[in-house]
Amino acid sequence: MSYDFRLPDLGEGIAEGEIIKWLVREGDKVEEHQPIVELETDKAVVQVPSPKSGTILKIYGSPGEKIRVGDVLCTIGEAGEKVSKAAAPKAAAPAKKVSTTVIGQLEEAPEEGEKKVTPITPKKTAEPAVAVLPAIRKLAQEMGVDISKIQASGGRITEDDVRRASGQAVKEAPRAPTVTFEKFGRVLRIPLKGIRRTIAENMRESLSKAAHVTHMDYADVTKLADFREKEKEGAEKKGVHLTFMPFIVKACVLALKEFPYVNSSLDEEKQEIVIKQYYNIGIAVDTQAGLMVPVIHNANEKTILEIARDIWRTAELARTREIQLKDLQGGTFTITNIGSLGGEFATPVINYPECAILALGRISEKPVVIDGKIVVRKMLPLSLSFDHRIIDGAMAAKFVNEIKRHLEDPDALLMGY
Amino acid sequence: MAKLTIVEAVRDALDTEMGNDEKVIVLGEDVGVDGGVFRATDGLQKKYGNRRVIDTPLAESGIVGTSIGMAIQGLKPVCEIQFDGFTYPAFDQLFSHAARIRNRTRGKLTCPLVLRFPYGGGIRALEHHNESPESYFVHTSGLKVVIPSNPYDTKGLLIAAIRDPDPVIFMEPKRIYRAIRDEVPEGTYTVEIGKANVLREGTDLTLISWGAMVREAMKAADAAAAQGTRAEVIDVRTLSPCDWDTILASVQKTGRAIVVHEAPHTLGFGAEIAARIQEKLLLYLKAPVIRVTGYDTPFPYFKLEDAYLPNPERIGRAIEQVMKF
Amino acid sequence: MQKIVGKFSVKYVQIVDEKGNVDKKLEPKLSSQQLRDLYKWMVLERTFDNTALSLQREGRIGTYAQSLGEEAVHVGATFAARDSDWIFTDYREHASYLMRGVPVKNLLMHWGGSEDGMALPEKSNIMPVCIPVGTQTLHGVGAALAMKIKNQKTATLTFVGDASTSTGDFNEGLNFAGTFVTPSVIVIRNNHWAISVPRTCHDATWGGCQTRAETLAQKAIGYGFEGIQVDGNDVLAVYAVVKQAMDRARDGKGPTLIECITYRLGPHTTADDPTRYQDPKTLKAWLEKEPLKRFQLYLKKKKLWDEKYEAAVQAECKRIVDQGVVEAEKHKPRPTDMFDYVYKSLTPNLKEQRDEWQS
Repeated sequence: MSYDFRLPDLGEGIAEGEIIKWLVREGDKVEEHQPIVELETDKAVVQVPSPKSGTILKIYGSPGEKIRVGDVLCTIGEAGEKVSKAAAPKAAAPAKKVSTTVIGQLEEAPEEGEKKVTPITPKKTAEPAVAVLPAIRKLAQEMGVDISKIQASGGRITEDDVRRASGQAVKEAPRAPTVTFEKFGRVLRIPLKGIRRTIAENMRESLSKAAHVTHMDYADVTKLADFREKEKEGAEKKGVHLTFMPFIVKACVLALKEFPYVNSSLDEEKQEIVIKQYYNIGIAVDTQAGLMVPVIHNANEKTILEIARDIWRTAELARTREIQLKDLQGGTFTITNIGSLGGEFATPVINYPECAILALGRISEKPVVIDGKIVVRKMLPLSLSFDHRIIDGAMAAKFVNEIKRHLEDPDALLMGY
Repeated sequence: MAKLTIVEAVRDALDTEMGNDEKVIVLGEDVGVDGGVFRATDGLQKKYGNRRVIDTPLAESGIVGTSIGMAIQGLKPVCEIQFDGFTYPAFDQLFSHAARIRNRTRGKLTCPLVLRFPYGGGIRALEHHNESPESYFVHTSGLKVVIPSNPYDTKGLLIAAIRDPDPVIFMEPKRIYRAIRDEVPEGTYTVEIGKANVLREGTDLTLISWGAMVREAMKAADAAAAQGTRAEVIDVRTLSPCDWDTILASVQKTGRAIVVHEAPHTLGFGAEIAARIQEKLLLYLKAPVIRVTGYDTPFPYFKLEDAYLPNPERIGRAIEQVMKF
Repeated sequence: MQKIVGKFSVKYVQIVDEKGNVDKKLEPKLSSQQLRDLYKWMVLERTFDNTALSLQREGRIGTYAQSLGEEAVHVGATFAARDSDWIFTDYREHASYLMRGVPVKNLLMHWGGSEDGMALPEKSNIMPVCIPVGTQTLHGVGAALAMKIKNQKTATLTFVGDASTSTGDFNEGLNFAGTFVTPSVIVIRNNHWAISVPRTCHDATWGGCQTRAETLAQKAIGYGFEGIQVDGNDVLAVYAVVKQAMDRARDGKGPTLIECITYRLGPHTTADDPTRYQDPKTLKAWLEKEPLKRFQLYLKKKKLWDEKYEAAVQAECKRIVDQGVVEAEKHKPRPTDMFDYVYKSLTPNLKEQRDEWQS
């Protein structure tokens, strides 16, 4: 295999030399490192050694000729080998012209100068850049929204802005597919407004936020019923219609004192359970307009008679729609009497943001086993829906038991223990 | 106008300013009789004599320390350390004194010296001749750090450095010492220290570099342009004090930045640039700032040099990365 | 009251002059084999040197620093050290490596740009090439200190150039050596040049030279120990003086500084151009005094050298060096080695970069 020996770097920024004389001839055998040619540079005369042993097959350049780094000096190979004219004796483009220095090799600039490096003052861009958080920028990219076209709702473009721009509903709830009721028959459409709409929103909020669980039990109110019978007349004389409700309110207050967590709310924002140290009992009232819950404030400070009076008063105001807002606010616990129309147990919806609601079923005489004997007792069905985020089933059960204890034993209710 | 290489521009700057100001002294190893191992001071001793162009004993700390002494006495020493890897013995003098004299005396004494040395790899050199130590100098307050990438800037920046009232570290990219020939005006002119240069305008991304890597960045920008990506190329020129206005304005416009430097990755000046970009321009970034750099290893012996140094291919991959982000 | 509290003298030693004549009083007791070994090592170094120069000119290795003219210093001093003594070099002492069993291929791998060259054979007890000149003085002294602490009967031999004596590290090294009485011998290869800066001063009122001290040997006195000057082109003188110093060091008598006067017959490195700063007459004069020629004359007088012997030695050295070239040129470094030897184990940074490199 013949080998074209190209002139390597000579050093000192020298990139070429003039051939003074050849030390070998074509056909000569040479040893590796044997000097084969003398070159003159503007520094000195340099002898160039052969990199290989072999036979000089062809010599390029005669004495007096200039030869550049990268040009072929000679071809070395086996004796008698045919050598095609070196493809490019004059280095067409030496990979890089280099010069050696005291340490290392430097690249040499080509003869022709390169383009001048002119400083540029950049033009001011027509469109200003858009400021947006990287995450939002990425979201816009994924949704195929051009952020430069979005109008920011506040100072900076937000996720909602991007979603709105893409026609999507804002935040979580993806839109549910709508059903066409008219497809199956005639319908009557009534606009949802007023109290109905408020109730609808409240119900949805309560059910979506509170973890509803309902605990159910019977309270034996036989003794209480007798007591009430006995006191009915006295109360009428005071202008109060005595129902079971004031007793139940009192019993609830006593139980709330025992189990303060039932008298609380969960502040989600602050991640705190707020235990109220006041006792405002709401009594759900059904009015023509809908469900209302007037509140008996500070029921713990009122006698049963006073509570009864309050109940009657607020209920009337509620029914006549003259009730003040303050009478509807501040409740800590709600009682709802569903039994007036019949029915025993229910799963009432908590009056959000309270912790629990007590539904009263219809008091009815039932056969009950006491001391092994079947007797007839007056039983009051109780359904307590509670927010399981705040209290557990065990506490709910104990709470209801406490209410029961007071309802089943009027002496305890009177004494408050 | 003459066409000069970078090393010739260094010589021209020294010659010019020594002619302007007789307080300018050049000192270093082999700078006088030999004219410097890269011929950066060729012919200066013949012209200005051996009291102004001084061959020193072999002692880098000695060279810088005596330069400090000369500077305090009102001379303007331009000292040379022969190679980047030999600046380390001089760190004590630079960091303990040159950088602090003005502050230490509340301006009563100052140290207007210039330390110039060839830096960077890519010349098939021995160990210790390929370093890029700019981070140490930038990190030391009181020093200025200037790195030209072409002959025109070299002359102007070096004259500016000599005139600068503070100590300037002038790092010359030896890989391209002779590789670029450019028109350099005769006579005196300066290029402002503290100003970066936008070499090419673009809209898609900003390539930020200095020294020998500027050429690599431009090659990568050319390759990207062929693919339809328009890169803006910034030559930082002064690393300390750095022209943040120019860099940040560019990245705000393009939203994508790539820094290219030879110095090792960790705590190379690219890290400072990236930190500052995300500090000021988070809302305008379309991709993370990528640094294409040397590795966190000693600079390898020259057989592995090409594996270590950033090159247009590596820069091209980074360009792809930011464009696809 | 005034009195002289210090005076110093520096001994100069020459055993074989330029004509090959020997000072019988100082001639060391070496066997014929040992004398021929000395010669062979010098020829090997020169053969290696010439080949390396050619390789560089042919673009097959990178920048190379020749040892031409300094063979007697490298060979004489290394010959005087025992295998268990450690050697600290800068970058010209190619013979020291060869004499410590480092193959030619390693040296060429090193000068050819691969760190694998300096992965030296175990028990070679020689340090890798040290380019920041002068810094190795501290290493040699520190190693000697360790040997002293460990109660080893070994010493260290450190080579520095004349320019290195201007560095802080050289001076700090000598001070540590003198202060701790370390078993270290420091040999200065005074080859007269630091690239273009001459060793001696010619201007009475200005510099441009390495140092104004009359000798470099006397620097030891400033640090409390002896400095000796030697004809550095006389391999027997170098050998004898270094041997004595190494023996003293091992015996706990402390350090010695030995200045070997020689001359750099080649350029600093392969592209330095000494004609810019060197008087050609000086070079010519030193060529007459070069170490191989004179030792040949000495050996000839002892009937240990003739043309046939010379041819055999040259052929053997050429064979060794050429073999090394072939082996070195087969070598390719592994790029991932860049990452694997920075620390004992890969750090997260390096692992990440290594992975990125491999992909």
